[in-house]
Amino acid sequence: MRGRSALGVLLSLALASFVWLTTVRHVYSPGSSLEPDPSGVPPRAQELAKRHLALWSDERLRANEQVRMRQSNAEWDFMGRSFLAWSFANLALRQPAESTRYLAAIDAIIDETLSLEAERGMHHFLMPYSRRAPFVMQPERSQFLDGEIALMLAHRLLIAPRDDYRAELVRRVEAMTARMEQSPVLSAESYPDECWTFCNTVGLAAIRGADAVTGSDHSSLTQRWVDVARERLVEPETGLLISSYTVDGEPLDKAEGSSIWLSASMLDLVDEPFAREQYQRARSELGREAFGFGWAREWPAAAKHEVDVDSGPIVPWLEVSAGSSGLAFVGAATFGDSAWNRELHTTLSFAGFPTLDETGLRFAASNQVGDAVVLYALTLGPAFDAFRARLRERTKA
Amino acid sequence: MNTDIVRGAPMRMTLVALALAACYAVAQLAGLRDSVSVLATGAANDGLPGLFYAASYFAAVLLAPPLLLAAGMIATGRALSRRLRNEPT
Repeated sequence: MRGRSALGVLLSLALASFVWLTTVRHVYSPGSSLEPDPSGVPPRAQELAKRHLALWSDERLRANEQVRMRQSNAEWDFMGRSFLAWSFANLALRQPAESTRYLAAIDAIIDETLSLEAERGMHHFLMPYSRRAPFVMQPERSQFLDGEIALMLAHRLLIAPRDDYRAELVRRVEAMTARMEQSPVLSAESYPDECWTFCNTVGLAAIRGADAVTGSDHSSLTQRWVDVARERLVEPETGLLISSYTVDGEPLDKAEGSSIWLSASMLDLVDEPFAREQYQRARSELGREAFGFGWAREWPAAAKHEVDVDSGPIVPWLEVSAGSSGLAFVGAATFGDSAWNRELHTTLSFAGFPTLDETGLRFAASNQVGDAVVLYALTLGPAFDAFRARLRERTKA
Repeated sequence: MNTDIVRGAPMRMTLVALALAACYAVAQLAGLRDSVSVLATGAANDGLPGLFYAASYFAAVLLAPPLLLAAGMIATGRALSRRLRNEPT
């Protein structure tokens, strides 16, 4: 009798847990916060943008965020700027009536970033190991900075012309393409003898963006990069692009979620079928969902790795990676994976600790770069469409 | 399992659920929500408060409701059982 009662307690607990797990997603569903307004901007993006616009108009607030991020990783300070500038450009294209405000913020981001790079050097935005050895290609440059800055400039020039930015964009693209051509895998270093797929695909998107806004033509290089990547930069086990490799193309880091989601998104501007194939492979290897929640692993199930600064913290057993899950928003949004995108947002509402106040929306478990990535995922589309349209017009002409 | 513990399970489950909810309420009222940035930044000064807030939140939203539901199920099951056997409540 005692055993039956104990079993009853355990069964009740199991049933109650199952009922709650199947119900709890409704509590955290993003609901109408993801429903776009007529300009295509959902309320969640409006609130995030409001917060970031406030950051860029309040030096004290911004400094606090930057100090917090730089304590962990100087790259985040830089990437937070990039994702924000790209987001604001997309918002300006979606909401032309607001474009002046967004343009001013983009210019402030670009000006401060260029100024810091000029004053303190590229290492200011890199992790300390950037100084551990000389770069293979001299004089030293980082594709991480060149690619993202060039893509910021290309986005900016979509909104309105500006001669000094155009000149800077042309200079960056020349520097990137000259270095990429020196490598047998058409890739430039971000760190000494480390080429990152993340940075090189951003670089490729920036080059295509520059082609669109300046009239240059680097289609041969970008297509050759895809051909070489298919042959040498794809890991045989999963068909996914590896994350990093030497200048000579020797693999370093295998496929990672913190790299592949954004890489696939960037490649969408270079070679759509290859980009979509990479997304679908990543979705199968790394994307997960259960009980209405979505998340992403950092590494495929068969691979064993240590947690690092790119993966972010990883929840054991479920293998939820903060870094991979954050960038998965960008992949899901780029490739129209709306069901999984909603599930990712449900998880973000559940475990991101959203905080909405008079300054806008932020996620307390995240930081400025994490929030900027989510904002970018919520707004992306118009800029790449505009680049494509201009490139198509040129081809027709 | 001790018979008294099994008999008292619904009450104990309810008390545990309320205690978890209370912990979360205390963490929320203490303004610890912002400290969960430790999950992203690993900032040492936010460490313990942030982890406490996160743990109390997840316990309150993942453990407390099933405990209350299970307590309700067990209590209802026992009441029905007694009624079927015509035992006084």
